[in-house]
Amino acid sequence: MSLLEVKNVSFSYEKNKTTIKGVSFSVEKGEFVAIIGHNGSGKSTLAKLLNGLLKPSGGEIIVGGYSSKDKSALFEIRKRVGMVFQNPDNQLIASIVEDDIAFGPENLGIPREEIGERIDFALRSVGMEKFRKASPERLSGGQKQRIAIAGVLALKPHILVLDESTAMLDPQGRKEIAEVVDDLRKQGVAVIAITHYMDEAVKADKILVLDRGEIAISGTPKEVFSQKERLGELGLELPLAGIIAEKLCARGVNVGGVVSETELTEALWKLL
Amino acid sequence: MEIIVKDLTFTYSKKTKSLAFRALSGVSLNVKEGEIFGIIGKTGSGKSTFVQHLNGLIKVQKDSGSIIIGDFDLTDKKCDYKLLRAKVGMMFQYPEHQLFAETVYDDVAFALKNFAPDLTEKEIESRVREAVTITGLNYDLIKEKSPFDLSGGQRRRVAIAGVLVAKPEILILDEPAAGLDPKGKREFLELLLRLKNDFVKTIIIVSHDMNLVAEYCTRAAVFMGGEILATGTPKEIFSDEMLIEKSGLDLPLTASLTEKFKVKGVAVDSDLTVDGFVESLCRALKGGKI
Repeated sequence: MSLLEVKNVSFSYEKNKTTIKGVSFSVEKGEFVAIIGHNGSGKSTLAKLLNGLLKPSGGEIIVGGYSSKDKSALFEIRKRVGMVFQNPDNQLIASIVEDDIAFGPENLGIPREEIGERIDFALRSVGMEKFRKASPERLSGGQKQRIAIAGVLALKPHILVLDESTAMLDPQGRKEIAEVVDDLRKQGVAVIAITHYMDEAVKADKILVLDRGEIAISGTPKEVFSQKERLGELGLELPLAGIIAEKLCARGVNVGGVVSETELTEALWKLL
Repeated sequence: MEIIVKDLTFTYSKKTKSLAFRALSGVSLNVKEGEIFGIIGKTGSGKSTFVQHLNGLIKVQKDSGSIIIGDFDLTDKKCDYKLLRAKVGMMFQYPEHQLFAETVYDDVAFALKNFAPDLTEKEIESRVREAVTITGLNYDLIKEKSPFDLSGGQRRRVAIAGVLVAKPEILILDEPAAGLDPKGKREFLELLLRLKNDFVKTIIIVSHDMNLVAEYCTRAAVFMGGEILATGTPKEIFSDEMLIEKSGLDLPLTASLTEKFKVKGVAVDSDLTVDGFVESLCRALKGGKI
């Protein structure tokens, strides 16, 4: 059974205006799925549907056997699907890091001793053990975002949804989050990342390209980024390595349809 | 207007010893008219504190250096900050969050009415039209719309029109492309280049995006711990291995590829823009074994 199954899901904020139309996909254990699309393509709406912040108006989302159609299952769904948003300032609520992380487990009614263990686990997972007693407001953007992720990890989710969670971070912060994501995947947590950075999407197992609420293209990074013209129509472009590769090909240096930096260098070494 | 900063130091919460935090120490920098100047460095390196000085959002502290911008002496008590802020426009991160008025027109006109209270409604209208049009938006179609009904890219254009309407000579942009989709990003950066040629004289960009800096900036300053570690062209900065290691900066893709080629014994000498890099690489490859 897949960790998450999205079956023909639709959603409207207003009558007669569908924001999400017939979207279907599934996410497996430890999988890394990137969702890309132009501003207003429905990415964030889709993210909010995944953990029941919004309820599908058509279709069904199944998480660990619980269906979004079943009202009483909402709690179980949210326990399994954790969300981290763009701005950690909107997600951190306590004045001390450990209190902030304890907030979620406390609400689930988890015993006190176990909450302590979960805080340890969550802080260790994001490499922020030293900041247990720190005040979130005194941390850097990348550190705050790691605390926001820790707050979600303390709920032991099976799926982590990152809605442009690295957009406000510096390269160092983005790297930190990427490392956390890699670690989580090794532990079997699936990660769904919504991003505008094609260089991030290129690292995913699977990419979904949204346009006007529908999946316009889906596949491996290689499959998706081979459709350059279609991507252009959808307001997207190749990762920078792909753009460079293309310009090289146009000038007779044939490196093929590579999309990542690693692929590009490998192709270039063959020419040396 | 040239920007001349000498030995600038700034301490937050200066009067409360236990909380005092020195965000800038001994920063000196010249930015000439006509530059697209990058301000780079990690989070917390002092970039924002620095640029907020340039239009007087943060005042120069006593005995803490000096800033001269054209005819404005920012250490002078009589400095006309209102006029300075019209001449040095600042666009913050996610500027569309600051849109507030009911229509695009009102939003863009707001700044102008503050800077130039004597203008007639007709003059205001013509200035607003000019500012909105130059951002690539259709003024007549958009002027009566609510900013909240626009797309992300359009909203950012409205936000920059609100800065341009005051006719600044220097434009300071904090992460101008963050949060835009790839196409929106490219279009917005191209708009900036166009502005640079026709409308504003100098652009200062604060960014973490080294690809952007390599592609668009004439020069950049690397901040770390409230000091400037180095100033130079993207090529000078990104080929300085010691500097990159010390400052913890990422390399733009062109520089990281150049570096890898160097290790393999192939010299690719370019200005680190994408086209410049491709050009030099082709030359290096064709001059070699291919």
